[in-house]
Amino acid sequence: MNHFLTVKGVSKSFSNASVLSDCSFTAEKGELISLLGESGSGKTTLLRIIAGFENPDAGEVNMNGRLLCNANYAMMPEHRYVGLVFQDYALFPHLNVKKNIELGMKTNLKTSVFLNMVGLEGLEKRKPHELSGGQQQRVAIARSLAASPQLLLLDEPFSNIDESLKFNFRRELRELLKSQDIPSVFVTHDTKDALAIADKIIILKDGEVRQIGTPEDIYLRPADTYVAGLLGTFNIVSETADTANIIRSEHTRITAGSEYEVTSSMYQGRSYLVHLKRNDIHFNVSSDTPMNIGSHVGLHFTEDHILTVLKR
Amino acid sequence: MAGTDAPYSGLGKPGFLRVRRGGWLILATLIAALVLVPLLLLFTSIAADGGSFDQLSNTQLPRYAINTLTLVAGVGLSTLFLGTSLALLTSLYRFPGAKFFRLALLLPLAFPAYIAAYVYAGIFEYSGPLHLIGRHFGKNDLYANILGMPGLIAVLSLVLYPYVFATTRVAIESRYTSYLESARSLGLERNALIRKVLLPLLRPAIAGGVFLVMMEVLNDYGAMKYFGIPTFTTGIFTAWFSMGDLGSAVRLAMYLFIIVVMLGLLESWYNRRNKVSESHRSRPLEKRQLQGVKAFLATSYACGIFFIAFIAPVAYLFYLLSIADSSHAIAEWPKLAGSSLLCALGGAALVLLVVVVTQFVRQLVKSKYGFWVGKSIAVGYTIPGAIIAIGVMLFSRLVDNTFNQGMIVAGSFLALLFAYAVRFAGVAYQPLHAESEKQSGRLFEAGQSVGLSAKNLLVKIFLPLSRKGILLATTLVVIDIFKELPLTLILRPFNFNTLATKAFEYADDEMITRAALPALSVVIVGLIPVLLLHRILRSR
Repeated sequence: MNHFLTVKGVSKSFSNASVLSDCSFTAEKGELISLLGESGSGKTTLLRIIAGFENPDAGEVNMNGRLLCNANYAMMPEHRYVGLVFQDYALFPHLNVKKNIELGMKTNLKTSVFLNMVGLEGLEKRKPHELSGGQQQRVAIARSLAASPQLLLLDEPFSNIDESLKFNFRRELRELLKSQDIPSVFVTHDTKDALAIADKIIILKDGEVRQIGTPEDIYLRPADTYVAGLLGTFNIVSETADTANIIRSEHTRITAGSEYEVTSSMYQGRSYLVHLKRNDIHFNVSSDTPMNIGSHVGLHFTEDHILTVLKR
Repeated sequence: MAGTDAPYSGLGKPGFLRVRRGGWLILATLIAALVLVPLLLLFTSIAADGGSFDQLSNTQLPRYAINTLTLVAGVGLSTLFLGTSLALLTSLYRFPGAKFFRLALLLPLAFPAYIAAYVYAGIFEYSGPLHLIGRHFGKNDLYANILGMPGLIAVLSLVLYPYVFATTRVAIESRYTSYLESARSLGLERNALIRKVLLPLLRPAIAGGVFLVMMEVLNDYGAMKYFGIPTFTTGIFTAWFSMGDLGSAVRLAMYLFIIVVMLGLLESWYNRRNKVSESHRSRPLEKRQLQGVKAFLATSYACGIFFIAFIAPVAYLFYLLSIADSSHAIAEWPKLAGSSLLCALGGAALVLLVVVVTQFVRQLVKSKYGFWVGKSIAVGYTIPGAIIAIGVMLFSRLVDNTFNQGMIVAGSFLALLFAYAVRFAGVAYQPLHAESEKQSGRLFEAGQSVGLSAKNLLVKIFLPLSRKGILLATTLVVIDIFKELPLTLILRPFNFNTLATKAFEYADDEMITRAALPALSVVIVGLIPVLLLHRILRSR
């Protein structure tokens, strides 16, 4: 099957330090994809390779039947029709909003169409420094869309947005990107962002793709202990040399009993994370009520919630 | 995994964008090569005909070396003392006039050394103003012949100390806050703080200022000539003008060059050893109010230096002007000013071409190579004008010999403009470099991601964003060329005079009243960058 965007076996190192190794994924038109990983996982480098600002040491990137780059060839960034929305937006400080959007415009649509799209009508004449962070980001997105990209990349689009505004912002961004007939790939280190708006999540760890799947896949069927840990606390019930049987903290329940001793109880907002101990066995358990340290309790969970994952 | 052991930076891997931006890179390389060739030619032609160098080396060389080094060391030490003391005084204390002196003490920078030399010699000479005033009050011996080494050191120090003053001030006022605060929290009293923490932190800045001073000393020709101190620079002129001996001039230029390189290495070694990282927050140490006798002494010291280094020479120039044959001076002024302006604008245009292209490509290509090409064009500014002049001379002869068997480029106005570009590209480099660093490669990437070509990146992003830097660079280069002497003297076309060369020639021929108007013009133009510097220092 031909995918719209194919990233195949991409590897990259900077002065002998490997940043990406053998990364592959695909994307289709209209799909919203999240590259999720900690800082240093290589997610931004992968984004920059697709945009054309870095080049892979091995592997290749194809889009819409065109080769964008491989180890011996790199199409110039300005010829790729790949839009990149920078983390710090990189708006041209000497141009107002309208001119920023028009600079790379390749359609016959009016600038106002793009301003309406991102909800910035009436701000045409403002200079970038006269806009709030959120407004600047919308201009950056409008500027990228005006250049008629076949793929839109966003580098940490939520990093400069206040926590209190994020909820609405995630929804708006998802609606906007889904309304375009192109794939969008955004980089984030925040699991909540990825779960909330992505159709597909790609988890990167130390330059390797650990798992690709829908948010539900990732949560319900994590491939390994690292992925499971990204999405919340869990406990190892039993393990072999390569795999572990784990249970998520939210799938366990404290009961009346006396096998376990409470060693700490931390408020988490919605619930408490309680640490239990029996001899050498430790459990992190969610609880609706705080527990007294030193008291003794029982523990309950069902077999169907136990997941078998790789240990790594 | 493939390719882990292929170290390269950015986009510069064979087969990648380096080749795709090849045209731009080649253009930048050619421009940088053109700027560097005159200097490289000095090295290659050292092996060629040495002229009467052997004779020269027996008789004059030791004297040139001793004088040059004595001057550099003497002026270096006295500006170190003057500049640092004045900077500490005006930046750490409040006393009557302190604020005024922060600007006033920069002003002597407007005096080119060759003008200061003849002005001070004139002030002190028999029947000079000092003598006349003294006689009025019944003292007949208020004159002195200051021509000679101590006098020259004093004169150069008075016009060059502002370099140390400015760099030290910047360091005191805008850096190191966190070090100072942590020292305070450890309980250090103010004086101990200044002695034990602040002064050691200032060492690199002071060294940087002294280095600039030494470079200016080596660049001087007019003052050395006027004071009769033979050095490598005056030796170059003698060899070339009196004997037409290019071979000897080249060798002397090489000696001078070696001194420049050694001083440069010394400075960078010293600053590496004493490296301090600046703290990000910048709040200067609070100033302390001086009272009573201390305040009086502070004001007197600053006022005295300001009077000696600026008021007295300016007053003397006006005095000369008042007794000069004004009709002659005014008649020739427009032509001289026109020539100066022509040199300045032509030179500035070439400089901008060199700097804009290389800095644009440096950002566009973002490889180590592009970085070094962008940086290499700045070396000319640390190299004395006389050396560059000899290099350009060699180059234009080479061009003439290769292409037309005559003297078309050599001795032409074009060769002079080219030499200005070599010497002053470094002046424009700083402001343009600073501006384009601010743009960070991000905006270029943003431009490319919406499909802008390299040409459009230059026209629509780089140039508009560098507007301020270009303006500042142009101003600085224009004024530097106005003041420039040694390079213009060697390379100017026959019978071509600027305000600077005429001021020097008249003075050198003891027609000091005639020199007054062109000299004053150069000083007044020279005030502009000093005022700019003051604004920049204040806004930091």
